[in-house]
Amino acid sequence: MIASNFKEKLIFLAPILLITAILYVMIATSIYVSMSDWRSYKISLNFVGLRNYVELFSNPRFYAALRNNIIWIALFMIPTSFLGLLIAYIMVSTGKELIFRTIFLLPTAISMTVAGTLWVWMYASEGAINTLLKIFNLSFLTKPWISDPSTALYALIFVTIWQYLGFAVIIFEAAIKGIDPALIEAAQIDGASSLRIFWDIVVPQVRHGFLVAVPLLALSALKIFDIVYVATRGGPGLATDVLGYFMWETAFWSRFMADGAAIATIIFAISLGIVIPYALIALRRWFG
Amino acid sequence: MSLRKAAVKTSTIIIIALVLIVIAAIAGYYAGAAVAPAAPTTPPPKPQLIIYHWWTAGGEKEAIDAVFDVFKKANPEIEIVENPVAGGAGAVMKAVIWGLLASGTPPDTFQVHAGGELKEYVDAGYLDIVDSVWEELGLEDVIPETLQAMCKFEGHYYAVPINVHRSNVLWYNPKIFDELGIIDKFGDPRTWDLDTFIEVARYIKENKPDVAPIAIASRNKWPLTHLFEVLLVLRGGPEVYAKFWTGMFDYKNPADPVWVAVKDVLKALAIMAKEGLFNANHPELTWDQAAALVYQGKAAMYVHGDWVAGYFMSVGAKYGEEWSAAPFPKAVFILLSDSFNMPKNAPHPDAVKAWLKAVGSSEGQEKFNLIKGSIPARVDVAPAYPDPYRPETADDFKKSTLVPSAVHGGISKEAFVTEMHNIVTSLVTSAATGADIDTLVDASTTQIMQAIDRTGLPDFWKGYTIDYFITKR
Amino acid sequence: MISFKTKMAIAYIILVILSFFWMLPFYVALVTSLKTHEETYTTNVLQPPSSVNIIPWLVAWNRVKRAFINSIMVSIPSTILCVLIGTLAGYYLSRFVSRVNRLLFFLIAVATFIPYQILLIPMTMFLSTIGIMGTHLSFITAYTILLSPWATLISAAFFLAIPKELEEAAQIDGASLMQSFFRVVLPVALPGIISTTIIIFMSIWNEFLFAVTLSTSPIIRTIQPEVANLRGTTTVAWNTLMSGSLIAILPPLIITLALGKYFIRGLLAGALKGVR
Repeated sequence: MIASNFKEKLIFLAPILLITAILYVMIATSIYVSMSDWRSYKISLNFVGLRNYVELFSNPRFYAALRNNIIWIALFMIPTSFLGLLIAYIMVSTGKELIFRTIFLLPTAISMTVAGTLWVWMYASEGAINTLLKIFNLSFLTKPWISDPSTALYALIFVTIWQYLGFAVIIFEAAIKGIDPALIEAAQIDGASSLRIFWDIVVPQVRHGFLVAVPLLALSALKIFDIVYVATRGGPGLATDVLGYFMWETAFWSRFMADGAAIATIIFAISLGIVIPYALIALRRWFG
Repeated sequence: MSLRKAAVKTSTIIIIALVLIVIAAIAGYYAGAAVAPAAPTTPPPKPQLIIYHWWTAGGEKEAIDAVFDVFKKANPEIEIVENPVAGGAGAVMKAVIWGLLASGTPPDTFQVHAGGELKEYVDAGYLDIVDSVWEELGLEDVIPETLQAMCKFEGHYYAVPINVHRSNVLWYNPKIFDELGIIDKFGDPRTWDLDTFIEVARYIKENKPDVAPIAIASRNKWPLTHLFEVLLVLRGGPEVYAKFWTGMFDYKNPADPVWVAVKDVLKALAIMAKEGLFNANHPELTWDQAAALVYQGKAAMYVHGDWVAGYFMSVGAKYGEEWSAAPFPKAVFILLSDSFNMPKNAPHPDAVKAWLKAVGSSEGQEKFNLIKGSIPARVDVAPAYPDPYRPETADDFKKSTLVPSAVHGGISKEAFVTEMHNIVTSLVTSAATGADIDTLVDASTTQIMQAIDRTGLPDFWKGYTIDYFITKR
Repeated sequence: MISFKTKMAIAYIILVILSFFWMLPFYVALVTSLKTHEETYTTNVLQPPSSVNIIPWLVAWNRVKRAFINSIMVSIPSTILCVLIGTLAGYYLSRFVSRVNRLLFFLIAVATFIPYQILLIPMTMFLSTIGIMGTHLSFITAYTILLSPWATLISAAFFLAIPKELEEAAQIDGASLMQSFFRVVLPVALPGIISTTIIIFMSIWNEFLFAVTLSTSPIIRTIQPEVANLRGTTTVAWNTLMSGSLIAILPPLIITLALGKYFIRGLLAGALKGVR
C-alpha cells in the first residue's frame, strides 16, 4: 500500500479539482444563460424559464441542423470504423504496418480547419476529384461537390472520414495485435477461408475496438463546427448547417446569446448519452 | 531498459531540435517585424486616439489615412493608435468591439454602420451623445434626413457619418448590352421594373447562352440578400421596403400588401434560379468574384453596391468597354453609411471629439471619399470625381428618395438580417434543383414570418414610424 | 479456390491505391503552393509546377507569421500547464482507488468530452470579466481549463501500466509520496508523459472554436483562425492559401513523422487497456 498525507493529496489533486469545478460551474452558467433573455450587446440575465427552448423547438432550422448531425454521425461513424478495421487487418496481415499507419495518421494529425481548406480545393469545379473522374472517363459524375446542396453535406462528411480513418486504423491495429495468434492458426489449420476467419474470429475479438472508436467518432460528429465554418458556412443555403454552426451563428452573429446557449445545452445533453456510458465503462475497466 | 533509454534519447534530441527551430523563428520574427500596436488597458500619459476600423484593403487604407492627416494637422499632439481589423463589418469586428465594451475597456472610437447596427450599441447603453459635434459643424443643414435619422435615436445623435455608398446599382457589361441591343429594346436600366429585369435576363440567356445573365455570389450569403433588398425596392417601392425591414406591418396576415411585394420578389428569385439565369458557381464566389464575371464578359449584369466601382478601378477594368453602371432604379437611393461614434468612458474624450470633427469636416469628407470611391455624407461637399459614375450618384443623393440599406446595418435588426441570409440562399439553391416555385415561396414566407417573431423585429423600432427612414423626394 | 496469399496480395494492392488517394490532398496542396497564380488556373491541378516557385510560401509566411508565433506562444505554456496538472492528478488517481476518487475520476472523464459549445459563452464572459480578453493569457487560461481533464485521463492510463512495486519499495526505504513520485516513477513514466504532451499540444494547436472566438484582433489571432481568414471575403489566391495551410500544419506533421509512436500511444491511452 502506498501511503499519502493530506498535504500531498492537495498538491496532486487541487489543480484538477479546481479546474473540474470551474468546468461544471461553466456548464451550469451556460444552462442558466440559456434560460435568460440575453439577446443583445448588453448582458441581460433575467430568468425566462424554458421560453428559448420552446422557440428553438418550433424553429425548423433546429430540426434541419439536428438531422444533418444525425446523418453525419451515421455516415461518418460506421464507414470509418469498418474501413479502419479492414485496413488494420490487411496491414497486420502483410506486416507492412509502419508506412501505412503513418500515411493514414497524417490526416488525423492536422486540424479540421486545414483539412476543410485542402478539400475545398480538391472539390473545386476543376479540382482534383473532378479531374480524376475525367481521367477515368467518368466525367458524367463530376459535380460542384460543395456548391450543390444535394452533395455538399456528404462531401464534408467524407472529409471527416478522410481525417479520422487513421484514428480507427490504429485502434484496430492494436486490437488485432491483441488477438491470440493460436486462435487464428487453429482456424487456418481447420481450413477456414480468410473471410470466415475475419468475420468469425477477428471481428468478435476486436469488439472492444468498436467500443472505443464508435462513441468517440459519434461525439466528434456531434460537435462539428470547424469544417462547416471553413468550407461552406452552413451553405449552400442551409444544406450543411449543423448544431455547432447554428449555435455559433446564433450567439456570435445575431447576438442571441441565450438562444445560442440553449443550442449548446442541447448538444451537451445529447453528448451525455454517449459520454456517461463511456466514462462508466472506462471507470469499470480501469478500476474494477 | 536500454532500448527505452535509446528511444527517450532520440525523442529528446528531436524535441530539442524543434524547440531550437521555434526559438529561431521567434527571433527572426522580432528581428523583422515592426512592433504592433495594442489596446492599452490603462490610460497612458500621452494623449492618444484609440480607433478601430476595418479599412485595411488597398484604396480604403489610403482613404482613412487622408482623414488621419486632416486630424493630425489640427491636433498634432495626439497620437493615433490604429487598430485595423480586416474582414469588413463581419462578426470578427463586432466581437472585438463588443468584448472591449463589455469588459469596460472601450476604445476611443470605432467604425460602425449608421442605422440599426448603431442602434444596437445605443440600446445597450454603450455610446455617448455627440450632439455637440453636430451642432458645431452645422451638420443638420448639410446631411439629408434619412442619414440624420440613421444617426439619431431618442432625439440625440450618437455618430458622425463619413461617407455614403449606394446599394442599388446595376453593373453591366456594355459590349454584351450593345451586341444584343438591350437598351434599345428594353430601355435604360434606370427605368426598368422587376418584370423587365427578368425579361432582359431571359433575353440574354436565349441569345448568348454561354453568358450568365445575372451574376450572384452566395458563398458569404449576404450578396444574395443584397439583391433581394434592391428588388424589393424595385417592386414594392420605398414604403413597402421600410415596412418590411422594420416589421412595421401586419406580418401575421399573409394578405398584407407588404407580403404581396415580398412574395413577388421571392418568386422572381426562384424563377431566376430555376431558369438558370444565375451563374451556376455562385456558392463558391465572393462579391468581388461575381463582379469580376461582369468585366470579364462571363456575366451580363450584377446588382450590388457601388464599392464594386472601387474594385473595378483597382483591377484596371475599363469603364464604358468592360463595365458600366446604372442606378437601379434611379428614383430610389438605398444608402449605407460608415460612421464613427464616442463610447461611454472613452479613454480620451477630447481626442474623440476632435476626431469626430475631422470626420464631419468638409476637408475630411472630401479627401476620404475621393480615394474611397464613395460620396460624402455632406451634400455641400463636392469633390472633383475622376470617374464617370459618382457625379450622378451625388446628384441622386440630393434628388432621389432615400432609404437605408437593410443588409448593411441601416434599417433592420441584425438577427433578422442573418435569418434572411439563410432563407434567401436556401430558396435560391432549392429552386435551382427544380422544386415547385409556389411551394418554395410559401415556405420561405412562413420562415420569414417566424423569423420576424423570433428575432423580435417589431420591438426593435418601437416608437418610430417608417417616415422616419424615408426622405421622400 | 484462390489462395489466402493471393487474396492478401490483392487486398494489399487495394490498400496501396487507397494510400495514394489518401495522400492526394497533400500532394495537390504542395503542387499548387509552388505554382504561379496563372498556373493555378491554367494547368491541370494534378500536374506539377513548371518550376518550383517559392513566392507563395514567402507571401503566405508573411501573412501568417504573427499568427504562427501566437500559436506557439499560446500552445507551449498551455501544454506545459495541462501536462503538469494532468500528470500529478493522473498519478494520484491511478494509485489511490477509493469511492471518492472514483467519483472524481468519473467527473473528470465526463469533463474531458464536454462539447466546447457549452463552454464558449461562460468562458468568454469569465475572461472578459477578469479583463484578459485579447491577450495571450486568455488563450492559455482557456486551454489549460479545457484540456487538463484529458491530460489527467491519458496520464492515469499510463500510470496504471506502471507497477506499484516501485513506489512501495521507495516508500519502505523512507521516501515520501512526492519523493518517490519524482525520483522513481517519473523516469519510468517519461514516455507516457511525452505522449500526453504531444496529444495535448496538437489538440491545442489544431483547436478552432475557442481560437476563433478569442482571436479578437489580428494582433492576437492564432494560426487556425488565420488560415480560415486567408480565404477571406475577397478573391483568394489558391497558391498562397495552400502554402499558408501547409505552414499551419507543419508542427503537427513534423511531430507525427518524428514522434509518431508517442502520438499513437497517447491516442490509444487507456482505450484498450485491460478490457478482456
